[in-house]
Amino acid sequence: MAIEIICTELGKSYIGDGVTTNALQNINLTFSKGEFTAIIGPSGSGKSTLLSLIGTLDKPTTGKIQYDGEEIMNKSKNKIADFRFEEVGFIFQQFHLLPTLTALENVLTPLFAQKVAYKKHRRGEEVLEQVGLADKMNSLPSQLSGGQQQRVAIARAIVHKPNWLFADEPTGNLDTETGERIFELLRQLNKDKECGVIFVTHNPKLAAKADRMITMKDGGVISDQPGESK
Amino acid sequence: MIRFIWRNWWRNKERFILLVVGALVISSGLTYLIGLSETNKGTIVDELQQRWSASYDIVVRPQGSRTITEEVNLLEPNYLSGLSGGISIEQYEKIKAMSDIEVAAPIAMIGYADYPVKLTEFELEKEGIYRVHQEVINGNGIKELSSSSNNYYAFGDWDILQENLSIEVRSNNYLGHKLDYLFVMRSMLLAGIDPEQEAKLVGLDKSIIIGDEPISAIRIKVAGVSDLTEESQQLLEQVAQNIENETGLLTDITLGSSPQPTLTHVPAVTNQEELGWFQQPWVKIGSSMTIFKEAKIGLLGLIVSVIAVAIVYVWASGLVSLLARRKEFALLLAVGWRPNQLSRLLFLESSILGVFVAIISWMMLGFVYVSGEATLSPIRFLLTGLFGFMVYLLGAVIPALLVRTISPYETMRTGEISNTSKRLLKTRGLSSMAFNHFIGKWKRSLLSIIAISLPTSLLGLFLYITIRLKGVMYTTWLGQYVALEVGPVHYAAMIVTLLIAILTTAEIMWQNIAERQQEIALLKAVGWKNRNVRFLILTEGMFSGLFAAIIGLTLTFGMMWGLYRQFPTEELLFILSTGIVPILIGLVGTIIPAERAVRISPNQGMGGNFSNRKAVERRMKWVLITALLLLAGGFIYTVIQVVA
Repeated sequence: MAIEIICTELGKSYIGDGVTTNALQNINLTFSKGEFTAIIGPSGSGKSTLLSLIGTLDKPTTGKIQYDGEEIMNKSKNKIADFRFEEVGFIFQQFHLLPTLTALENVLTPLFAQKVAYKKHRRGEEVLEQVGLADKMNSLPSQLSGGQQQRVAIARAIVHKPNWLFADEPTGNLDTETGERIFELLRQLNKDKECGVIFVTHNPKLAAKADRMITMKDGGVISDQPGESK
Repeated sequence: MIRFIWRNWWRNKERFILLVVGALVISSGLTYLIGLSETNKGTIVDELQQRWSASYDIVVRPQGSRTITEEVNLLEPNYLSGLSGGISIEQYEKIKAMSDIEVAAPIAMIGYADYPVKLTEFELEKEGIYRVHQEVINGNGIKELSSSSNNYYAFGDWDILQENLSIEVRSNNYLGHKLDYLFVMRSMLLAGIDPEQEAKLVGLDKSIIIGDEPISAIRIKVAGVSDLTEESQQLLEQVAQNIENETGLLTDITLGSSPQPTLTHVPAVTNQEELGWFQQPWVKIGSSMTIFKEAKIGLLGLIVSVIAVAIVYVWASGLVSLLARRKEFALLLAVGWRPNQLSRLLFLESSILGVFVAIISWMMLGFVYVSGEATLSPIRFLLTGLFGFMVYLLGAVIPALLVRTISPYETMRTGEISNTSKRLLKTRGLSSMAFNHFIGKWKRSLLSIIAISLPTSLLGLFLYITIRLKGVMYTTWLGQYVALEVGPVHYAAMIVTLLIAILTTAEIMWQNIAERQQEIALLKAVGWKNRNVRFLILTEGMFSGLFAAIIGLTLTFGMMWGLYRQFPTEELLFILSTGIVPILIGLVGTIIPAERAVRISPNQGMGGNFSNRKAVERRMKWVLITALLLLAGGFIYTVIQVVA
């Protein structure tokens, strides 16, 4: 179980057509399980890149990330995949539900390829009830509203009981009211399940409600302070 | 996992139908080509050997004995009897002593000899003078020629007849002694042979030889030549060359000749009226070898290319599916799937389709077999299904490797991302825009180009072979036999490959459209008309066809050079015109995707065409079952018709 994530001198650059773009530079941060952290900053400041690195979706160009002292990214792809399954739940701005699967089937996707101790189907229904979609289990994504789709995505992110939830602008495609409800849902999960939440957003109001607020600009951290709730 | 795969297919109905159609085309094609067509390489060779074997391989003749028809490799049926000597005993002995010669049987024409044929015995009772009226009717196959004559005979006491009727000539009438038999005179050609050699060759062993240069021809049997293969042909050519070099005589290789019905015109000569045209079975030298070679190339090439095109289709289909689901796979990786689980997923999908194809093929073969319309070897039966399965399994290899290159990070990316920004042309209008799209997706365009260009190149090659064979294939008996046997298989294979090519293009264009829904919606929003969109998409399809035409024809000319070491200057225009076919295929394959693009409304998002509505599912099931039954029924009916 990863209790602590430590980023040391983290950097990420992209090379395309001979031009090198530095998306991240010299990031030194520590995240603890149970913390609710918001990352805020303008477009292109490197928030999402940072999230994808912490979430093992991508490899850093420089520096390292340790999960309880272990460098996961140096391991095989299969080991990394297993780490993601055991530790991490992702929530994306575009929801990324599989269009051909129903809400329940979408929630069950992380479990398709793994053996677990609990009843998969029962667990899927349970998390959908938890996010308030007990009546939409057999609907296709195209039959759901944006807020409902994002709640399905959240249910999918928590179905395998991860220790960390990484949310990439989860409210970015939603209206203010729905966005706030999704935020509250994440907050609730953080309290009840004690999972660490790292939450990227454009919205300073939502960010201010977090335990900790990291502000980024041009690929670097410019401030790291407690949120209003602290 | 199988349920996951099934849902993905079932709820993506349009693509699923395409997938099933592709599987049906491949299974029908393989069933016909591998399972049912008896005309494979082996049977052609057997047929040729059984039906057209000559007792000798090479004929040696004296210089100057060639006739004008031999310029087109055509020999009179009785060409040997027209020669009177020209080869000396010394030359004969030289040939006989050469290596590789198993039998050298000489033949010497001696000349015509008359002989009587006894008809009926005269039985006369009374003495007196008798008249015998004789009418001879000769049928030469065209008309009957008759001649009549009267002969007078005396019958009675020998001494009286001897004294009074010592042969007196009055006009045309003779009066002579009575004959015992009624007879006609016939003439025949006498030929001298070497009994020992002749016995070896055909088993005839009583004859004599006369003169200084008495031999007209020597028939050679070469040791080690027992079947119709290219090795035999090479050996014969070598032996024939040796004979020519050492004796200065003419040689002709008769192995693999075929009878060829030949029309001859007999004009009016002096007081004889014109006989008109008549047909005789002449001998076409070297025809079997030519036919055998071409038929072998044709058939083998066809089956290989059908399988190749099928694999390319499965690749394309797998690749399209991979592209369409790239985000989905990235997401599955992000939620903890292992990369090898994705590969397994793709292999499983392909295997399911492969099993489906194998079962359909076996069902079709089984039905044809049960209805008693064809005999079937167990090995062929097994092979047909296995080939289908292998095609799908092989087709999954590249997508399964590619899926491992997907990074889970791709779930985070949004908007247009391209690592390169190269454009060959500036976008100035519809055509250049279509061209840039086409080049921008060159990897997948390449797949449809390969799928189209393979059958195209074959088409060109077959047309060329047909032209080359025009003289042999349709005039000799053997050629007619082969053409009749091979023709339907050629056409079936060509149609199957072309259908698969259309499907490949349709799949790829379908995916291109799916990826550009928003773009097309935007184009419509800024005022594009339906016909502009249609034109844009069809132009892209046409570019695929055009490139396929160029590649296909290059391949054709390459193969021609490889096979014949010659460039078809005479037929160039004709072969170039086959380039229209791939362009048409490119267009036809794009029609449905283009119409789909036209239907995109300006305000359409990425909602997609996915549906799990009960009514739609029920209708879909019915449509699918009906289509399956119709296709299978139609196919079996066709096969029964063809086989019968």
